[in-house]
Amino acid sequence: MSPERWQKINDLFEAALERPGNERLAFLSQACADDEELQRRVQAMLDADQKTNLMLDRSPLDGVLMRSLESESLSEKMIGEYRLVRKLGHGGMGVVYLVVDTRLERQVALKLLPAQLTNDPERMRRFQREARAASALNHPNIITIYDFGQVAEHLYIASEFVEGHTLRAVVGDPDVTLNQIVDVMIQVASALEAAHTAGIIHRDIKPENIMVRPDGYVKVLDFGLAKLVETHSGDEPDAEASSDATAFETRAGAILGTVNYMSPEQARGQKVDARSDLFSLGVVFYELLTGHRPFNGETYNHVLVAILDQEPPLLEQYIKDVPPALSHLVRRLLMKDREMRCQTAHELLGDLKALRAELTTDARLQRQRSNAQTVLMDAPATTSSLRRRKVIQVGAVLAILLLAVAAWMVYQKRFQRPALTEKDTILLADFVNTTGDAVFDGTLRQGLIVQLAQSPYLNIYPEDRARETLRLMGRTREQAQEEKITREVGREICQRRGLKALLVGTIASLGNNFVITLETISSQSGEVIALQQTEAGSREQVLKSLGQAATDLRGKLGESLASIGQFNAPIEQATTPSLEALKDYSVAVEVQRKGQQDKAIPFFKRATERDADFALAYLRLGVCYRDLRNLALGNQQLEHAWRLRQRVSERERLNIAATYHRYITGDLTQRLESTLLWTQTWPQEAAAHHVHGNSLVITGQYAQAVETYRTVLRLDADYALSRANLALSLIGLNRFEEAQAVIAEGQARGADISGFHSRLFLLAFLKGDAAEMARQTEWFVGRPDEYQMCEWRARVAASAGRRQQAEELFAQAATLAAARGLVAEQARLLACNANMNALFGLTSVAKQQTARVLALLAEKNIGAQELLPSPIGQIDWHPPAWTLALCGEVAHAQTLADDLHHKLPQDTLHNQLWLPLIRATIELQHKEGAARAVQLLQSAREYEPALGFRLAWLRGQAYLQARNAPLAAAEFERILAHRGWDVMSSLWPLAHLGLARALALQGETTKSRQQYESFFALWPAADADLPVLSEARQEYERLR
Amino acid sequence: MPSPASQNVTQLLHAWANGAETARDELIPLVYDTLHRIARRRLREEREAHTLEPTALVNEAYLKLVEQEVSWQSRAHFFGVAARLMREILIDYARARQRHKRGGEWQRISLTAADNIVQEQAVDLLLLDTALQRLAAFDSRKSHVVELRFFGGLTLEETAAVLNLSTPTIEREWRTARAWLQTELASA
Repeated sequence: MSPERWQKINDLFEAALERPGNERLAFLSQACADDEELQRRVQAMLDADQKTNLMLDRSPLDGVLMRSLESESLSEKMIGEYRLVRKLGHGGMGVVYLVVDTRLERQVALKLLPAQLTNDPERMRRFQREARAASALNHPNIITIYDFGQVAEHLYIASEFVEGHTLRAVVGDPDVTLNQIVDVMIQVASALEAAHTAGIIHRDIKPENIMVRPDGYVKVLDFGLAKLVETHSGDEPDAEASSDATAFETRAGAILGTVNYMSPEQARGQKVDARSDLFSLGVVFYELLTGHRPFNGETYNHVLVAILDQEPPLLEQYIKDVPPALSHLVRRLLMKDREMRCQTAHELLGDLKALRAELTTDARLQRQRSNAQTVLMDAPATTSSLRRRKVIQVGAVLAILLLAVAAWMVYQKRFQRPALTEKDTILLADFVNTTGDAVFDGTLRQGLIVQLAQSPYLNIYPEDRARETLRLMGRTREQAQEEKITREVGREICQRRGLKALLVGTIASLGNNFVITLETISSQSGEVIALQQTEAGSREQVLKSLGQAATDLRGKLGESLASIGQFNAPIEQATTPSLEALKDYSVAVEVQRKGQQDKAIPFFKRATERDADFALAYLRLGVCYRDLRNLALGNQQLEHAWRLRQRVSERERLNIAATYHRYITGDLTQRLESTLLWTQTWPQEAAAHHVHGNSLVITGQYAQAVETYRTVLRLDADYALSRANLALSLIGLNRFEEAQAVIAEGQARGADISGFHSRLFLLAFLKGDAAEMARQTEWFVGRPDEYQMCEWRARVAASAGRRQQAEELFAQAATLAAARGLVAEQARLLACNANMNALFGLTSVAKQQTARVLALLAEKNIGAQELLPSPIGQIDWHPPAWTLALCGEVAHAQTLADDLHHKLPQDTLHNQLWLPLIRATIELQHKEGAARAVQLLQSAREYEPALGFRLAWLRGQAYLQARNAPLAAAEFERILAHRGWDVMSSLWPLAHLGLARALALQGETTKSRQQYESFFALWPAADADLPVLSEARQEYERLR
Repeated sequence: MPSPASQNVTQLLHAWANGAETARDELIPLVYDTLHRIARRRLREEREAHTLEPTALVNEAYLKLVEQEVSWQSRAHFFGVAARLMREILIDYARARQRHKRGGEWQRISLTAADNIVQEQAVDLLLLDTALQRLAAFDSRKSHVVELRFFGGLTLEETAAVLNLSTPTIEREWRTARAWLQTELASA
């Protein structure tokens, strides 16, 4: 080429490169005019330029000298009499080197076993026994062992060095013929026959342990070696058999790698015999024939399950025209019951030889990749393609190149990077239990939940949320409750809910041992993003191992060591060391989840009987009792849980503290501290924020509660309880429209809980929408909390001054509660009724009713704690002491108040709010008591909305009595400005009355009259005989 | 004070640069052995990190051989020499392999190393060498760039420094040369 021509090519090429790809062709055509050769050349260069992986990009220097050094760097080392040449490979049982025996100057394969093996004299003896036996084998198809011994801390075995490849390289080879496969099988069977006759079981027959020399000769490797790494074999129950994780890790590779070829009896840990080798060989045979493993699965456990329980697909599924003898032989080798199996290698050998005689000489297997079908067909004569194969110098002679292990290690490496972030939520699938031991059903999942929930890093998606999702997926209510959350279902839930990952736990038995696998699966790709596997040496160790696995998994998923260190109570303390107790607990949780609280109780009880220190069971049982309004028993259990709180995880400790301080001590300051800490430590846990929101609502801190519940909904928009309480908090702030919208959104999302309907009732009441109120009441008919709606209707009547109607409805509600055995509720309803009468000025009725309340409490032995609820949802409660004080029963009221103070010294609401209220009321019974009352009530400002309008109303009354009209008016106006604090309160209309009186005192006659009128307007159909109404009428008349 | 060996290398480099072909035959084992020794030591030190930068190797070899701080031009020159050496070593070896003439005059260097490289290379080195010679006939600069990049393992920047040209220029030259060579190799 002339330099000028080249210059042209060069310039055109560079110019074309500067243009966008789609314009180059046109550019070239134009620029080259009719010089086609020029255009062709430049176009070819442009095409070459586009190719990735350009061959010139790799300089031969990139690998310069490195390769030769890999062997040389070892060349100065000696192991005993052996000079190292190079590494051949490594596997679960150690590293294999090519060495030169300096005494004989011959090449030898040398396997160095892990140093740990030498630490154990018993193992050492076993090793020597096995190695001696194996070295005595002399058979052309068995690799010859030259020497074995110990150098420094390493045991070594020196054997014949065979060039060639392992059978692994043949699996799936489309060129391999049936004759060749049978030929290999015959040689292996022959090797096994010799070994079995000498009393040696191989124990680890698999493609990696069968070498094929370039000349077609087969050599079986590693006779009896597998035994050295098995710690648990049924025939030799080992006292040394350790169940601790470290021991397992050294063996994990070997076991994990070999599981596909394990016989059922090996998988069960039973005594292994010659027939076990035949089974494994059957697996190899099957795989060579079809290119598929007969027993397969995504994880170790799945494979075990397949080996134990599943029939392999028929050969016919992969191969056409299978000779019946072949099919029969493979089936006999793969019999799960070894009595049914081909009994000896000798017998197998006979069958194989007969089979070979039967085959057309050129029977050949042709695999069609597209449909994974392998077709057995007659093909033109080919020379041994096994022999023709390009001989790969695998050289891994004694090596067990455990491909599975390698893959597993790569996996492990990949897991080094955090798989999740702390904003991700995971779903726990149901545990897969293949052990046949029902004690693990559900149990391990509960244990795992407790164990993982203590991690501030991991967010576990709540199960009831998952169940709700199933309903969205078209399941009926019953199906959604019962359906197992399998891998597939779980993934769909994750995808629907935008959850990052699914955690699938599996337990399988491996002999006397149990293998627990925790897989974290990406919900997007379905890939395993973290895998944790541990082994437990016994049933009793399972929980501990599970705990360990959970801890390790947390690390793999990206949690910091510091965090794991701080929040990692051992599982047997956090829950229970008793599997049976945990089982009962799990059943109870399950039953409870389905809404059958009463049926859960016996199981929780039995769990606490099996393990008297099972703190969580006490907690759950206590809450269960309380939910059923069996407050006395509930509180007993909560006390138990409280005493045992040091055992549990930090998260559950806060949970116990929050519950205990709400129901037992009533110390809401401490409760707030606990729940706040809970949200701070587990900021991604919706439940933590929900519970803290409840703390805020109980103490009347609605604005903060709104924030907190909003956080819950940000984390989980389907948290219906939180949504209901958000609506309640918004109502508390007079943000009624927002409350309505919040519930509407929840209903649009498919949720429907009683909390929604009770809030909607309040909102309808505020709007005076009687039809809507009736509709909401209707919803409760036949439900367990129906009596509460009856109570609400009573309060609606009361707040309108319709005393008689209220009286009837209160009685009805009390009867409904009594019928359900809810004595404390019955007492509460009667007390509300009494208080209404006291406020309306019917003191004698109120006194009588209060006496009944007190009698009921005494009769049923209902304690102080049970009667002072920290209500959520504007549930009314009036301590008898207050009602009596209002009725002028000063002494009695005083005694009751003091008694409560004595019994509940830490109760926040009682000591900070109720007690000042009662004492101030008592003071107001004296003419001169007003100042003292005002003083008492001044201190009761914090958490004031928790008691609704009561404190403001009483302050107003006190100022009225002190004739301080402006301050009195201010208090009543305060009530009128906070309608949402206590929507159905009878004090709301009475606040108008109070304000009217304060204004009259100030001489604001017109304004006063307006307030009187407002009061009368609120009581249009009020009972005419109410003293409070008569007084108001008279006062109003006087103002005219 | 440079050692006799380094004196020797410097002289040989000059001699070869001035056209004394015999100097090359003496340089080859010296340079190769040095490269080899350094690589081996590095390998021991950095067992985990299997990324040996070829240029770092050559650079270190040069310092070792010349044993003195030298100007960049000299070092660049040495890079050029090393690349040239690599080319010749590999091509000669590939040729020898083709003729089934193993051993003999190559006993002084580790044949296995070269063997591995030649075997592994995706490119037929002999074809490449011929194409490169053709390229040199009408565009010697591009042929030089390829030699430095491919046989010398130099980066674009290093190549630019050796040839005293800008990096974008070298990049352009390299891209064009590479495309042309590929079409040549493909059609061969």
